[in-house]
Amino acid sequence: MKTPRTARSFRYTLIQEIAPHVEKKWADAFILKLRTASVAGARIGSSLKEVDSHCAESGSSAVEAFGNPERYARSLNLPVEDVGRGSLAPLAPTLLEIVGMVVLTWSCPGLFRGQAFVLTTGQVLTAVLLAAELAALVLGNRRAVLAVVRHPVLAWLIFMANMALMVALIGTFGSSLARLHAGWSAGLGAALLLGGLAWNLLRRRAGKSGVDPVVAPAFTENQRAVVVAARRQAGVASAVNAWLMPLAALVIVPMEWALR
Amino acid sequence: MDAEEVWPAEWLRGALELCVLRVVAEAPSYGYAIATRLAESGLGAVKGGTLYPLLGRLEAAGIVAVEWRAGESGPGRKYYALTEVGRAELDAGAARWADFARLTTSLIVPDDAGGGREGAAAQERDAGVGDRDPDRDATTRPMEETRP
Repeated sequence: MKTPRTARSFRYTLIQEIAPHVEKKWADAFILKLRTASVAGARIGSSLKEVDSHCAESGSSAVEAFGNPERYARSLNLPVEDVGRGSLAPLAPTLLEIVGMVVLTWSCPGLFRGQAFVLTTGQVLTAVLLAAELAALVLGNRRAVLAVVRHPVLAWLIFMANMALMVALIGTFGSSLARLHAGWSAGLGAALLLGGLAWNLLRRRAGKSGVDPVVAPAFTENQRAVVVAARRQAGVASAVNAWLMPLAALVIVPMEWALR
Repeated sequence: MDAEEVWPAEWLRGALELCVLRVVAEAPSYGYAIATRLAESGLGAVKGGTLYPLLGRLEAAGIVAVEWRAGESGPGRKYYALTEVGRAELDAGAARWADFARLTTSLIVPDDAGGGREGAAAQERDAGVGDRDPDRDATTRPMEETRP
């Protein structure tokens, strides 16, 4: 099998291999509905393959035989994963990394200049805003995922507006709230960042990375190759998730050193 | 023609599970073949959106066991086979259904042929019903008895 180069083309190939007789739009809506309901990827793939099998043998379309994909997905009443909606467990290590990254990058300028870390009102407001947003994202993750998929441009605009708001908060509210030893706060940030990374890697090793690809029973060589590729891509995604913040810190901290 | 166009949906809801179990009891089978068998039996075309959620419930309850097998030329097929639990469920359900069908038929179509007439006659015999309208009896009496 020719390996697809991009995630998008890979996903298309995956659906084509699992369900070549099902309308792509129907398959997309079916997968999204079950995905956001925390159903395991293997179970989603198996259900979709059964739809494909029926469509191939009957010659009817998925819409004709199964009706609305979301209603059909609900009617299957498939069991959800142990880690269900609103659970912090899969995201907690990454959230820890984010907090560590923020504390570290805020502390480093003072550390490199031999000054104290001055905590400003703007930073506290930004941290509170960030924490509230992350909590809302975790608690309503199904709706958030659906909203981003259905309105990607709007989601991107909201993300950029949010970034601008955070920068504005830090720039506007510069009054000092507390002075901390920059070495201690940078050390705390680095410890949180590395602790989050270690936690992420341990979860990954235990097979709880939170990345669960949609796969289906494979009978042909192509189908087996797609399953292998899907698992490999899930591994890459989980590695990126674990290493993104530490790698970003490795870029930002030297920049702060250069600009001290 | 869709099953729900052939028979009222509420009737199908009551009978479909036992019908599916009976088909699977004959031999392990897959969704499309089960639907085809039901259609051929006169039940009408059962939609995938009705059949597969039912099969999923039976699987979750341990009434059927599943196995994916490669299709002859097309895609793989998910085969459903009756388990021991399923066999007991079918036997008990079929016996109850037969009683229920006899009872309802005798109530709804007491003068009709087949099970209804037999059921009604049996009930009348059991109840010792004596005085009857001779015209009505003529329609329910065996042919030999109605001859001059």
